Amino acid sequence: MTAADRLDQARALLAEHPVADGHNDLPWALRQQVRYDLAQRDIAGDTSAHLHTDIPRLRAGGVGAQFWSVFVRSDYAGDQAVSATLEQIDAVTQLIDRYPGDLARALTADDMEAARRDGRIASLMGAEGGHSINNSLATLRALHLLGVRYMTLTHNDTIDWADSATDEARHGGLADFGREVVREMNRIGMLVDLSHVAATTMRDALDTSAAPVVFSHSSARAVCDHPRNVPDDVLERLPANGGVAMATFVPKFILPAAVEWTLAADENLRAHGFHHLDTTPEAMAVHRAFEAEHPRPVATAATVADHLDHMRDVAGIDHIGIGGDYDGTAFTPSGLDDVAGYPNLVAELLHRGWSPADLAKLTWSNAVRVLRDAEAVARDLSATRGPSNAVLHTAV
Amino acid sequence: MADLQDEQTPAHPAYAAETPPPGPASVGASDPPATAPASALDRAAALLSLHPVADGHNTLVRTLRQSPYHDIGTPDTGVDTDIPRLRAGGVGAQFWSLLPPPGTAPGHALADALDQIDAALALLRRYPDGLCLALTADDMADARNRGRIASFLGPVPGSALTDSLAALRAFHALGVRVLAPAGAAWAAEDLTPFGHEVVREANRLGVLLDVTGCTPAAALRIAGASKAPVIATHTAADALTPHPDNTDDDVLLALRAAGGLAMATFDTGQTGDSLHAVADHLDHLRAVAGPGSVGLGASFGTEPGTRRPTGLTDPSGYPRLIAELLERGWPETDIAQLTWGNALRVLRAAEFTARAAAHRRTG
Repeated sequence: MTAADRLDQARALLAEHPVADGHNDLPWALRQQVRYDLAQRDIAGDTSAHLHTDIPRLRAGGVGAQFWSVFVRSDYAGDQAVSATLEQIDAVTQLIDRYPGDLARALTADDMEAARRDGRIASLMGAEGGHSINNSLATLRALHLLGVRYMTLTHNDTIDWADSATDEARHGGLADFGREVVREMNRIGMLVDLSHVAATTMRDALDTSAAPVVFSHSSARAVCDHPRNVPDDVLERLPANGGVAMATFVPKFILPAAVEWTLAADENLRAHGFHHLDTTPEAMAVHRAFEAEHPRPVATAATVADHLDHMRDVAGIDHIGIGGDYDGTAFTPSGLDDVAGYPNLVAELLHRGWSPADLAKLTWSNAVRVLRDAEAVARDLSATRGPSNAVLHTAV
Repeated sequence: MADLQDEQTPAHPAYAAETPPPGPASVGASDPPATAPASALDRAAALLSLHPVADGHNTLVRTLRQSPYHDIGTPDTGVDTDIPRLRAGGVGAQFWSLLPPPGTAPGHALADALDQIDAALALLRRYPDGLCLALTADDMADARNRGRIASFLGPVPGSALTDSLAALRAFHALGVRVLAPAGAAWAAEDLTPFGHEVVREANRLGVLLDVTGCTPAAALRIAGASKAPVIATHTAADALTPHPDNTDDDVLLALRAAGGLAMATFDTGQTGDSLHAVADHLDHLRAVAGPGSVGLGASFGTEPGTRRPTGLTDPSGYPRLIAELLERGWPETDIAQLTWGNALRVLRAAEFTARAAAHRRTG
């Protein structure tokens, strides 16, 4: 089979079992670039000059479901964090209302399947960081009512009840209130997302959660030793838990040479007075200047496939998925440049001998199943347990 | 205003009457005996069975926050509001206030509002036979037909918007139907450009604007900017009792002109401390705003020790107030508007405005 044949076959497979991607930061990009002026970034057309994501490229990429991240910066706190999260949710709602022929609001696994049958892209929401609930289970429940179906327990910063992978440890994993957050998420049917959290937090959450967990955008630490990736001992627990680790495409997490390069590039941004996650044109200009002097190591679809091969070996074919992090990363792998790229990854995996049945699980079925299982757990738990009134007790 | 009876006190001879309130209203047994002859009280009960009270303001949600397991299914002296006493008082619809307790630290308004919304929804889930979430005027009528108390969420404070219309849309999506701009920076003396946007978006969504506590200037601006009628959920006549939450005659006239609603509170600080004082305020509100723009918003849902007009210490007191108004010569049609009809009409008007604006994109 030639490469072209494999790509054709990949497209045919994706037509049947489209990609259910765990993480896309289009809402934050729209906030940063145009303050949610959706007319200025009409994703019904080609937005490739500004974004990784638009509807034609989602279609070309075979995307059938997307968890849109309602991320807000983890240096936001209190009402500011919640308010910004509500704005992100609002933006996703407006996108769905604006493109009803292509995007379908999805709150359940059934909604995902219905959208696939309709030929629309099931649009779910995931909150990225416990700072978005401002230490309040009432706010957690409000986010769920507003449609959010997973919450990453932390973003880059350690919060009052959970340690992040990329910040100082303060709790040795999950604090007591963090465990209560996990239990309440189980009860209401919000997936516990363990991307971004410290390995200790991953283990504590797995110990606590009655429902399957997800990693919305994390790859394998054994392949590329970066704290954003999942260690093998955690991947090994996914079969018992039923969860899904969705491999991300972010070069600085998945390619060892890119990890080094990024450390230097971030340092350069900070030296110029920008936050290292800043994607404004000014910050990007500084970033590009650095890149001109220091050629950027390039990841490819094969890099992602290396992670997926390993994750499949360790966690099993039923416990892996895809979470590209498009529009949440400055750089993307060659061949997976934007959301149109998923067929190249599927073609690469076909080349490596993955069967169509395996690929259907990877791209679609595992993600639907994990949400369905979380719904079942929520039905069980909410029959016997009311809303938690727990509050965070800070040390006095 | 010859019928104003400012000098009325609990010692008024009418209080000596001994007729108890009908039926389960006797749970308010510590109240003084009914003021009106049996015939007026009977007529009041009969009227309320046809035209229940739609009350604009009850702060039970925040009062219960510290005691989430308090049972409002049975009468309990811990708070003044429970389902038996709401029923005894003929309450058919209740706006559950989500306003923050006085002294809430700035920067926590959104957290507090989400917390109260959560608590309110939990309360409604816990008493499905007594309370039922209402989002529309139809829900209000439907709840009444099913023997439940239609429960609207709101008002939420304008400061909880954190200067974001997305928060307003989130509140609406969570079920909130009233927004109270008082205290928000965008509705201080004048309405800022953002304040105008809030009014527009509230109109588009079908969220009622509550001008209680606004300065007269701001209230007039809001009433002028709003395409839907505005309301004051817990107010009284500033002409009788000057108070920041009371409404002056200019604003009452504006409410009259726009088909809005001034809902009378039973807060003694705003009205004076007798049932007659409350009736005096209602007389004034009706005289100035007109019978089509007066309603009830008692502000029950408080802890014991809160001062209340004699005879109106809890929601079971409404029949006594209605009897008093009948005694004062209010026509039954005006009473029906006061208790139920005006609130229903204002909700329908807000929905009509929202439908008319639905083609507009979110702002």
